[in-house]
Amino acid sequence: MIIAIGQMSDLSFVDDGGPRLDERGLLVFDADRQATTSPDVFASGEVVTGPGAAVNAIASGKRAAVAIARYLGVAAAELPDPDPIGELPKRLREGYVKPAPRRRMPARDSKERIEDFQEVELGFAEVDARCEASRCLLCGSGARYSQLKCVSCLTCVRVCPYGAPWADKDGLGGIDPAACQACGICYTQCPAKAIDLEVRSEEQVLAEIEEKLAGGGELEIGCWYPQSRVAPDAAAVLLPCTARVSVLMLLRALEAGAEKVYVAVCSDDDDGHFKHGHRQTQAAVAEARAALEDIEMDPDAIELVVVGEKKCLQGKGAPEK
Amino acid sequence: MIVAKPKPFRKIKQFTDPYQNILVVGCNTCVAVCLTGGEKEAEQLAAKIRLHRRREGLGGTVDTVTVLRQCEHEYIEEIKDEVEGRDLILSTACSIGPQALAERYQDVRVVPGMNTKMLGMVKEHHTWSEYCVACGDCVLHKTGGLCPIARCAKELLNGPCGGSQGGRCEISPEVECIWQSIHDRLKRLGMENDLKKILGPRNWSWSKHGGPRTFHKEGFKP
Repeated sequence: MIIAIGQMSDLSFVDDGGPRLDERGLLVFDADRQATTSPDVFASGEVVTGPGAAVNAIASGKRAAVAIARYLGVAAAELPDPDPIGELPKRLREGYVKPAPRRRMPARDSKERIEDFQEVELGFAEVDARCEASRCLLCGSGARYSQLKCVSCLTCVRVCPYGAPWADKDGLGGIDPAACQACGICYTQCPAKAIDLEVRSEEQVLAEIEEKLAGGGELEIGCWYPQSRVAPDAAAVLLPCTARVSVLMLLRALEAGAEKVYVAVCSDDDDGHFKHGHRQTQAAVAEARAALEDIEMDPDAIELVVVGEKKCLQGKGAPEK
Repeated sequence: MIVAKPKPFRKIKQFTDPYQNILVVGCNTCVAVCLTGGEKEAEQLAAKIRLHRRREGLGGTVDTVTVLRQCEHEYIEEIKDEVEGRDLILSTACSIGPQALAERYQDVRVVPGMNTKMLGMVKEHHTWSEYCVACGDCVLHKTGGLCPIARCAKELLNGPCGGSQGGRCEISPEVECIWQSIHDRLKRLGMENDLKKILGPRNWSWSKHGGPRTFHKEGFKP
């Protein structure tokens, strides 16, 4: 097999007196110390290892950061190997997570392609690329739990559709990362703000809302799976699931100057990527609208819009081509 | 746990409209657990007040801080920097919180954001029921572990009354007749004969009827 991914490192910036290159044009490299031949230049990733998996390049980058910290005399944490995420729990394998058929990459016919060295794979159309990307299980991007802030109220245990949070009789708890599907219901419901989300944290989302509304206008908060937006002209903040939309986010959007906030929601569990996501979203929007009525603002400043049938959800996608 | 419910916003705005520098203080114990006054709810309420004030052209600032328990001197001492310069504190704790804050911060007006409803337990997510009225003289050992003082509309000691029908109370079909449940439970335990013993008059002076109560525990004091 010849690996020919058509990519290589561009080291043209390395000049005489800089790190030494070997006869193949790669950096001379000490993998134990992530070091090049220049004492103050460190390297990581595919520039030294050659083509490989992205996750190995990321790990290599982390090792290099530790090596640089040591070189600078800065205390650096050792990087323990993280606990591997075990086998998906049985209850999740059997019905909790929707199966997601893959889309087959369109390719040139083998009879045709043996004749030349042109690219074999033709690439996905945008819709198929989005569908394929939506099969991502968002591992590790879900709940980030703080035992320090937790008040042991059990809310997360009661509301999680996947049984990911747990608590023992002493109130000690946690969220099983293998079971967490990153829908965000526990974050939205946690009364003590002991749960945030690894990807698209509350702070990030609030900052994005304010940034996108810097000039006023309308805002759509939606999930990032549907192909079409409900308010194409509005600024958009897209989240893995609108179950992550909190009342605070909606009120802060209006504080930031939104003339109107649309929340694009699935019609039911079958339609949605996550279990119960649509119901949590409906509850948050209803609560925010009630708050507007309380302050004699038009509740329609926040509007829930059911998105049309989505074609690229796990389990609902177009068949493999 | 103490269960409290937010006051209607028309009250909140009456309290807050005349002031300019407002601190909403959340409490991360009972009212967080009953999902009405913890850090999340305090932040939401502050955002709502800010929107209202902007709409009414009232200006001013509305910030939030949350402590673990407003009923502890040490925790509310911790927020003295946040309280500094405020002209109003709005507490989302049970009624103990505003009082504790008023005792500590004597020059700042303190108002309640909540109505304290009961001592209760969660029946299902978002639903709490009253289980105790802090009467000061627990009778659960005589009543199968179910409290007729808190859970009988008439606080009967020898029930049920004639208003018990099909296990429900005459005040509402939603309300369980606790005396029916007490009977059922004692029967299950083979203790129905206990029901033949008349429970005599209680000493109500141990409840709130005897005036404000203080409890001292014996032991070492620093």
